[in-house]
Amino acid sequence: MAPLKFEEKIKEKLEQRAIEPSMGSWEKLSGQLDQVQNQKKGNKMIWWYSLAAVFVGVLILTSLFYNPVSEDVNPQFVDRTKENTEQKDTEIVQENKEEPPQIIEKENVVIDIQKSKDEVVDVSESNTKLIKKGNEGFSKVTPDSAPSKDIDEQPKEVTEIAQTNEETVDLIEQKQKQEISINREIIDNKVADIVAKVEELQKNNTEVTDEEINALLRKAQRDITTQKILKSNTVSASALLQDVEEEIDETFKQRVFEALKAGFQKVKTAVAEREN
Amino acid sequence: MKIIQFYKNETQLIKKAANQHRDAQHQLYNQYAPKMLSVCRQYIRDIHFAEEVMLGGFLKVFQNLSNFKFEGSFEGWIRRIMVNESISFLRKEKQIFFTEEITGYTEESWNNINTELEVEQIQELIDSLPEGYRMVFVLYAVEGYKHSEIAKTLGISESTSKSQLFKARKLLQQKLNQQNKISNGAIEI
Repeated sequence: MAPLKFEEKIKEKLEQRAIEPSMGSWEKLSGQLDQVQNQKKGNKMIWWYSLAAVFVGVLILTSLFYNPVSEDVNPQFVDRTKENTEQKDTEIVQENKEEPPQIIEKENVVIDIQKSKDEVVDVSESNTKLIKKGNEGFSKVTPDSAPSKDIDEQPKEVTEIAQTNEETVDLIEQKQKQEISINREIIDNKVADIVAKVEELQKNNTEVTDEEINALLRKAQRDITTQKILKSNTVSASALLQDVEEEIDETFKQRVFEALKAGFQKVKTAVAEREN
Repeated sequence: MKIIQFYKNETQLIKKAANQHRDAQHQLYNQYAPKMLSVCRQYIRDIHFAEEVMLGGFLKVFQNLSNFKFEGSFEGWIRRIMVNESISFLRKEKQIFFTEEITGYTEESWNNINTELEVEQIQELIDSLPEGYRMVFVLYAVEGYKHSEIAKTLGISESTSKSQLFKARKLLQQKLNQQNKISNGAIEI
């Protein structure tokens, strides 16, 4: 017999053979399959999470660059505070700048002082206007700039805060009016004193030097400031109120920012989920 | 009709198993495990190791079932995986030596040999062969591989494959002669 025939017989017999595996072999295999599947799932989940994180990151970045809402919100707050501080500073500088002409001109002393008095009034009025503007800005900005689904909830808080701010502004206005009336009294008294002194000097000495007038004016200014401080307790109170208001404004800003951020993120996640 | 239905059922079963349906996988396992254990047993002497290798093979089958394109027979595809698994197991377990000496070979010497053997006897004969001979012999004679394919699978040259087959055949011839002599002697007694 040829070896090929022998091999064919072997092949036939071996192909027909079947050996039953042991009893627990399938359980062993299914256990191994479960293990492999869990590992694959874990890997897949990691991939999906990383993909989702990248997608959300890209969404946030694109929205930050191209969303007009986010652009509108931030500069409004920053600009208002800057305006307040800058305008205050400039007005103080203007006041200081306007002092020298009052001193140089001898004959128009009284008029200048009256002008300065009016300016003081103007400054206080401008402060009240500024405070108003600032608060109006906040109250106007917040409802428009809340684009999230919390629009129903947020404006309530915002309006409440705005109302409290308006109340504080009214109080400050009243107190500032009181201050102004007290200041007027002090300044009027001082002006009368200075005029009397100048007249006395003119009567006694025919020549009144610039140095004497300057000295008198400085003294008068000091007296006015000291009397202001002594007579009106509102100076410290208003200053305190302004400080407190600034603090309130900061927290108010922070609140608004946080509310806007939360709303914005919610919208983004909702959009991301929809797309997924 | 029954054959068509069987193929339809098998393709559905394979698709389900590819989607990690445990029941489908279990059915395929029950259908092919006995045959595949037999395949692994041809290469591996120890039945327990053979079963371990078979389970590893099925794990690969179910993991890569989506790669099966239904172009050839499913059994052939599984069988190839099992053969590769068995060979890689043997390679891991021990070094396999392949000698390249080829001596004279005569076909006439097979004439008086009784080849009517039982499966167990055939398996014993195959098991008695050295590792290298056995692998080449089974791949060539049972699996129907060509020498080029064997060389590629085992990482040897074609001439080595041929020499291994020649030696395996010679050794089998000797063993069959011995068996014949023993059986004839037993009958005579």
